[in-house]
Amino acid sequence: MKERVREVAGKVFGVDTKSLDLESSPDSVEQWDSLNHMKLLLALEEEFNIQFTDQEIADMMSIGNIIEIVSAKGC
Amino acid sequence: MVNGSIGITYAEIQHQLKVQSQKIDKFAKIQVVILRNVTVEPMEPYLRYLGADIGYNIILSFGQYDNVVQESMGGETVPITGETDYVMVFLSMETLSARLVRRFVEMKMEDIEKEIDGIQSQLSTILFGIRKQTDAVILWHSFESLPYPSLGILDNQRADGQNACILRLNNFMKGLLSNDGNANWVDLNICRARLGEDRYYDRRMWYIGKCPYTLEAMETIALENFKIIRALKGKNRKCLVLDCDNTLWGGVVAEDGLSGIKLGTTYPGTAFVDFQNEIVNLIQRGVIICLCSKNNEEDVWEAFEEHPEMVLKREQIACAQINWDDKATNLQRISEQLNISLDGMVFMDDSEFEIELVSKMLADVKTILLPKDRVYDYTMLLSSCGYFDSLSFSEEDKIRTDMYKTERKRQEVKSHYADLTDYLKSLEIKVEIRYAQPEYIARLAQLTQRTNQFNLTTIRYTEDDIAGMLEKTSVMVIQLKLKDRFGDMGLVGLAILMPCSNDTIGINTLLLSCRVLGRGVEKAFLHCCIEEAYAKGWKVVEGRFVPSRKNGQTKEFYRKGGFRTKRETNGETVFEHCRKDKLPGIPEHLLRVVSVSGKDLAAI
Repeated sequence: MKERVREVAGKVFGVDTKSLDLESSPDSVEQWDSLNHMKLLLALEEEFNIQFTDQEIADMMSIGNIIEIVSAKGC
Repeated sequence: MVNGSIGITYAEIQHQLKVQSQKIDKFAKIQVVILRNVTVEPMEPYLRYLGADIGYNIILSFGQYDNVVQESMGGETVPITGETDYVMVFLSMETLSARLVRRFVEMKMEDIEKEIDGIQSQLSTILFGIRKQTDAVILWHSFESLPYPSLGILDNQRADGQNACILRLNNFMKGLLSNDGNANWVDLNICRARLGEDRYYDRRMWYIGKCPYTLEAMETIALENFKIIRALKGKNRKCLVLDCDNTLWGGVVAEDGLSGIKLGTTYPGTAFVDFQNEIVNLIQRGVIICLCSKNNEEDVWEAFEEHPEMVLKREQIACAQINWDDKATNLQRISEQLNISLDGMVFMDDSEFEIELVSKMLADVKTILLPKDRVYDYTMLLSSCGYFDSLSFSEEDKIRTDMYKTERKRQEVKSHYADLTDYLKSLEIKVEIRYAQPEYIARLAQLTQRTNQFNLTTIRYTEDDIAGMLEKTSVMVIQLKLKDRFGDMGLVGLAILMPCSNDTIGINTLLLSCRVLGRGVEKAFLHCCIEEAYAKGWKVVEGRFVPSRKNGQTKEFYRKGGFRTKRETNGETVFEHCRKDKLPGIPEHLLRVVSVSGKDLAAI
């Protein structure tokens, strides 16, 4: 699952998956702007067939964060 | 791309765009400007991906959020340039007039009129503003009706209800656009209807990021816009190639027989009838229909010509490849014979194997798999694909099949035989004529019931009737079987001769299945029947032609076979042939004709 989250993020941002780690965030990844953030969460919802709550969306501050949230949804 | 979806994930699409970026950058550019008062940026990868599929590099530039009027008028940050090819306009009513959407109940009639007036002048301003800047194609998106109008069930009862206002505004805009000449209307209500309310709207993203649509909705909307671009670029598909068994009808015609295949008034036959109706719609829109089936050609044509519930007609098929070769080879042949490139073709089949094979071997051909357990979805799978969509419809479209058929015939004659006799000889036709065998009673009765074209009297018999005749020594029931180089066609002909007077026997029934016509077999059949009648001691053979709606081609049959006209009454003609008259003869191209006596007449 962790790998899939990173892969989706890499594809949406158009960057090498290897360049993303748990700490990666809008501050450290140039392509991670608000629009790509939206695209990322839509892509993750499609990938895992889940839906994030508004609170979860607000909490997504890093790849590590996102992995926690996705895993808490039972993926 | 089936059922309104591209078929790969959003992340994968973006990955593909990245991987193929060098290739796509070299494609011809299509510059699209999007003016909007909603967030639709997530749609971009879909449109770019679809564009790349037809060889275009679609480049989107988005206007500022809710800056449509300013940008259409040519403000400071105008995205429209001299290079702009398309302008898409997305206007959400909720942003345009929050009052009309959110506070409708408090509005008085004059408020409503004033609001509508105001919106109409905004819409005109935007359209004419765009037109001052560019001649580009405009793709204007409709307003969506409200699933839950503020007046609830009362809204629909009123001519000035909330949804009635939205409809009025849509009609106003459509009217403006129809005068433009280079503008197209994209109906978002249709996009929404295809997905359903919950799969279309994402209220969460609307409030968080002013994006009203789900990812799925954006895919559907992108696809709908793309269909227009594709049609304008002439990249829509021209030709639909269909499998037969379990595609045009349920079951396998060679195994289940004509009466066993599922086609007609009960499920699943009903679903196949509708599927065929949809194909006929495509034909009338100018799409070329071809067959590609692993089958006995005769069985397929028998279904086409003799199954009463067939909607699709043989003459509507521009080209058929019915044989046991692989389907990729056959599609290639169709492409060559009709002179239609592979990227103009769509192939539909119920077999995953065939679909897979064609996709792998001929990447340019679009394929649609018809899942065996979803027969009821076949019509929808065809109508939702949109591959054939075009923006025009002419009289010429309706006759296009004929034009392609002529082309095919030309190609065939060129590539095959010097003349018809040569061709017929090459078929190695073997005919076996004998007195009817009791095991064929069902088939003989079926022939009398189904055969229309080559049937001199069109008298229908039941199995009991035929069984009764076989018991009477005075009645001659003669059957014909046929084989050729391509296979065994089985029992395809029947003649019934009954005494008329002491020295005269009459041909009560003479018929041949239409799949064996045009090969001179009918002449040989008549020859053998008469010969046998004379061998039995009869002096005169009488033949009758009773015209029906379909048997016109047999009108001259007896005369050409050496019969004389005896009398004509009520359109019915009686002919006669005497023992001393010349027999019809056996056409020389027939390889073997075993007659009732057991002799091979072709060898003589």
